[in-house]
Amino acid sequence: MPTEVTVQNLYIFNSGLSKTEEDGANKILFYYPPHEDENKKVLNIGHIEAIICFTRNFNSTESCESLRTDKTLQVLYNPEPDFWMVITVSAACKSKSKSPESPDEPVYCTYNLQEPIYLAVLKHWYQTFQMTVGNMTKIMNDNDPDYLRLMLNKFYNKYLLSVDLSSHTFMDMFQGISFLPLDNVIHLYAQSFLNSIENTFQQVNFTMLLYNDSLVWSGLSKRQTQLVYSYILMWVLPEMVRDENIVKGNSLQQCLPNQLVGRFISNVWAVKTDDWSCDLGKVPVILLNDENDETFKSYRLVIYKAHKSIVCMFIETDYPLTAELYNNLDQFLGTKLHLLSEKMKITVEKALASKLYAERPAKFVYFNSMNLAIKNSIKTSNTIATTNKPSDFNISPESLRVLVDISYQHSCIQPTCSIMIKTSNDNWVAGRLCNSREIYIVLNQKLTKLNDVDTEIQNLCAQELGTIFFYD
Amino acid sequence: MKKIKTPILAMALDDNISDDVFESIEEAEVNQNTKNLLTTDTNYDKRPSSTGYRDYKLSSATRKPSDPSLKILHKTILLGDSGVGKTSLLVKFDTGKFQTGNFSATVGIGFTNKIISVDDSKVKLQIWDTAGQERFRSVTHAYYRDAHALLLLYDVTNKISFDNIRAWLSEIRDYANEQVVIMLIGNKADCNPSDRMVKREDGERLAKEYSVTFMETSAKSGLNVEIAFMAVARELLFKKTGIEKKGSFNVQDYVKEQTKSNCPACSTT
Amino acid sequence: MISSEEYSENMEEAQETDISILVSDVNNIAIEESEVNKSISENKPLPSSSEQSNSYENLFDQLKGHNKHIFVLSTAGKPIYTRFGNENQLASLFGLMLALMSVTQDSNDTLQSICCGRTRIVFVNKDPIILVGVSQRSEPYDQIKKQLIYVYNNIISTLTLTQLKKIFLNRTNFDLRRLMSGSERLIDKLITFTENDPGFLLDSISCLQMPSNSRDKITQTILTECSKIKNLVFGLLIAQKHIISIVRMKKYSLQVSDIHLILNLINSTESFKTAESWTPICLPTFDSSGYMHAHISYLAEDCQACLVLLTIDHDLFFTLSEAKRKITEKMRRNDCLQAINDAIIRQPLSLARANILGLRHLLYKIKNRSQHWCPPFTLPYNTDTLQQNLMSVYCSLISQMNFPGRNLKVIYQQLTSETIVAWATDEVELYMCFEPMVSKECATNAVTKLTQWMKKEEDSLFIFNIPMF
Repeated sequence: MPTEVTVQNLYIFNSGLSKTEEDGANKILFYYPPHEDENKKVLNIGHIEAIICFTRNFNSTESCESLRTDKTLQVLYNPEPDFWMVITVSAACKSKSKSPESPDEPVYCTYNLQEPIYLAVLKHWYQTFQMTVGNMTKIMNDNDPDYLRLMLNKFYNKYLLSVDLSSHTFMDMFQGISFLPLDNVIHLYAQSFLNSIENTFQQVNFTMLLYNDSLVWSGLSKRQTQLVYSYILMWVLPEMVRDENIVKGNSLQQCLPNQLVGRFISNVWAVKTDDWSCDLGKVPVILLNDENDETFKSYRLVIYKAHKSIVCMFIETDYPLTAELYNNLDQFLGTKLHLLSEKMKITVEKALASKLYAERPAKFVYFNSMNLAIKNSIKTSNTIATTNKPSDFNISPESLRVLVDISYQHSCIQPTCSIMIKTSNDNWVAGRLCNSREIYIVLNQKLTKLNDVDTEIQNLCAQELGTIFFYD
Repeated sequence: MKKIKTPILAMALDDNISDDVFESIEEAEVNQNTKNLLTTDTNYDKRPSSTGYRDYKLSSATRKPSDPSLKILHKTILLGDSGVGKTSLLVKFDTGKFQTGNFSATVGIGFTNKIISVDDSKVKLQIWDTAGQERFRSVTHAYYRDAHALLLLYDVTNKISFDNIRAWLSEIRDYANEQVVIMLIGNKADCNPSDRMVKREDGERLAKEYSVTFMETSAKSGLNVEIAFMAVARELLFKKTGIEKKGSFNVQDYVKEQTKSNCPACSTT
Repeated sequence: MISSEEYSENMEEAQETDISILVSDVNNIAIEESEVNKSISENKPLPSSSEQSNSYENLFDQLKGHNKHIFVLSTAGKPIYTRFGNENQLASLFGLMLALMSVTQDSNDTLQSICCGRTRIVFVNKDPIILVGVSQRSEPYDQIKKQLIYVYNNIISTLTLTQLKKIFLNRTNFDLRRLMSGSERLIDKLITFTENDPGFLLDSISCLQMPSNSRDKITQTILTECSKIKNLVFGLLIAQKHIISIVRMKKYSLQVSDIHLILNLINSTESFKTAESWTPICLPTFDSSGYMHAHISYLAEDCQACLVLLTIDHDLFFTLSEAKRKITEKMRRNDCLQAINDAIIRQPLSLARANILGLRHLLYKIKNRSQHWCPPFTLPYNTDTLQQNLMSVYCSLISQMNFPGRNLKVIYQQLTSETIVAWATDEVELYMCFEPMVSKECATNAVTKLTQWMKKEEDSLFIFNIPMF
């Protein structure tokens, strides 16, 4: 029975903003859908506040995470003191045998909705907001609640347009980075290329290099890298494809007529932008902080592309961006980046060619929380999946939900080293979890013995991950 | 599955417990008696408990099956609010033991048979120990009608249980036989004087008002426990045989007499 | 002299005062709702009037101190039951629960659960009563919900659904505690049962282990007597937590949850041990609308098995009393009493006898019979805490296995202190606990070996014959 997930609403509120019963609407900082009845908005928020208050009687150290009703799942996230983000989703099962009496009444299957997915989504949204706009408390204190409302609206309306809220699955729980598998020589080569940019241009504080949608190198911290990486994947790459089709007439291209080998990526969407030199385009401003430092520093993010590679350059906002700088960067980067990218292409293709193997009826996700590396055959990356035809079986929604259960059980209920589960359609869903490494596998094979399943998993790991994964 | 529809227990006024049922119980006794080898030195006999839980020891088991008075069975019901000590009083009388701690409310009705020697005769009491909770009221009402004696208990440390006695008495009037022997009992008389909420005189006054016999008891110390049941047995025996013997027996006088000799300290307070 | 009408009038008056208390309760709720904001920003527990704040703080510390809370209230907000503390002290909390329920109700929805870190709160709305369970140990929602349903069933078993509905239809503000008095203890014990007994987790009963021919003889004896009695529906013979025998009237069957209620009633009521008893009882799964009447007695002084005879006829006491006497007598004659005593004192079958490498403990359930076998706990599960931990491991395993929308067949899970395997076929469910480092091959073999071994032992461990009359 397929499950149809719909997002009922998504809102952000701060209880401190309302002092009396009458001004309840003041609490609302953001509300989707925007056309919802005002009273309904206030009522929904009031209900959540009461829930939070009620649970505090039993647990004052942890914050309220979720709320289930017959029809909905509401997930709560409390990113900053007094600020709450809430998403409400509902799930209807399309049953084949609808009851003749009430054909319009949907059958709810809320049990198919899983908290960890939506909590991960909310966290990611918040972190992206924090990176592209800033800390909510700070914005409110520096300006006023209305300004924060404006920013949130700007950010989330764009965000909501670009993501399909209802399609989140197991994969969204891992905010991981897909690394490009390179040999040491070329990896060092790439690294020294990036160092040379930072050395040549004093304005450039940090750099980051991507090949297609895989990360090659980053000078940022782990968490920052992940956020910028997902920002690029979400906002930059799709826009870039669109951009390439309308190269002509682009004001940026006119301004820099010499751009032949590579080009700057402009018109990148961001809440905060900087007008850079006349009306040539907008540069996103990004806030970055150290892992253990609460203070944020803003940088302009300049993106340059050549061949299949992208260089991200973080320039402190104190430095002016000039046409001269752009020209210099273009001249410095163009040919070098193109050459590097071609080299990388050759190594990647060589590596993939040597790894051609008989297809296994299996899918896997590997995640290392130490470096946030993710490798998977569920959501295939452009780079990796070019030569290998992905296995033609689709993971059933049931198996995906079991995967979420495994991950949640391991991290929140009881640490599990190894788990193997046989589902109703006789697939095997397995997890190996040790130290910071996690691997999740779905086998589409009818196996009856636990040791056969185990052998299959071991072979898969050996083939796909080589020596990275150790177990037993 | 089709379900059996059972009516909510109404007052079963059409109580049709027939004599032959009693007859068969009589036979049961005889049968059991032959197997029962327990001996005793107390003055009353007892049918072995049909429950017979391990901790529940018999105090006696011999009897003379030929005794004609055993043919007459007297139904006695213990009534009163929940927690006044009905079960404790019965257990003390039945086994001589006081159940310490472990208070658990009676569920429904407990059934115990007891044979008491009154002078030369034997009186067989069938004692119904009822649950005091309100929700069991409708069940217990059904058994009021053919009761021969009612022991109505309150707790001297609980004023409410005493206040409810009037309501109990009016219920008795509604459901019980007019000839029923009623005894009002203030239980837990062993209590600390500071815990006592109902004075002995209050109990006496109320008993007088309703013309019923009164005494204070303690299941814990054993005070008047046996006398209470003995008095009931005597009264019942007198009612059956007294008409022929033309004698007179006044249960209230008897109680006064007995309680004085037993516990002068208590009877004077 | 007061007539019975006046008596009930008095009750009526008592009721009136109750209502006035409730009105003030409602006001309190309103106040609290408006204070919610404040308390959220101040990060404090439920607000209260200032002079009471100290005692409230203590109260809420108490609330956090217990692993499992169960609250019952009426849909009018009247407290009915709390596992810990005093209902009256918790009035504001009850008010808040009601408010939370009714807000969700307003949008044609029903509040199910809240998750707050390790704290799980589950709501069950069984109009006219609401049940709320709070667990501090990340227990699965479905288990907490089932516990609440059990508590609800226990209330139904003392009052019947029909009576419960009628009471609240006539007086929405009725204080149900008046009718519940004395049965709170049963609820307390029932909750403890649901926390410790594998039967609750597995929806099954445990049988007293005895040779099948002895069991058949006992069953036959009960059946012979019972079949003579009109309107007798079920007969059960119980030894503590285990069932010895069940007989039933044609076309009717006794559900596991109803048997659990009967077991709890018997094992928590001391007064059954002092006298042969007769009590109305409603079996909610069988028929929630009316009472059945139970004749409850222990077989004999020298045989501590409890016989429960259930009828729909409220006049059957003496008939059943007689039947019981005959059953006991017959059982004594054909050595059944001795067989029961032997079975009770016998060392229960140990898992060690199966001789399976690395297997520490298991739960074995025959699905279509709803019966299970839980062998005695042996090393390393030699303390209450360790056994309790093992039970929660089973609990989460069973819950995972039976989660709606999943339908899993096998789970193999290597935890830090043990390896657990759940294995379901069409006939049986197996939950096994192994040494932590057991090999997968070993675990697979254990399932096969155990299944074979159980085939030999199951005759004495389970009741295969539940005859009808």
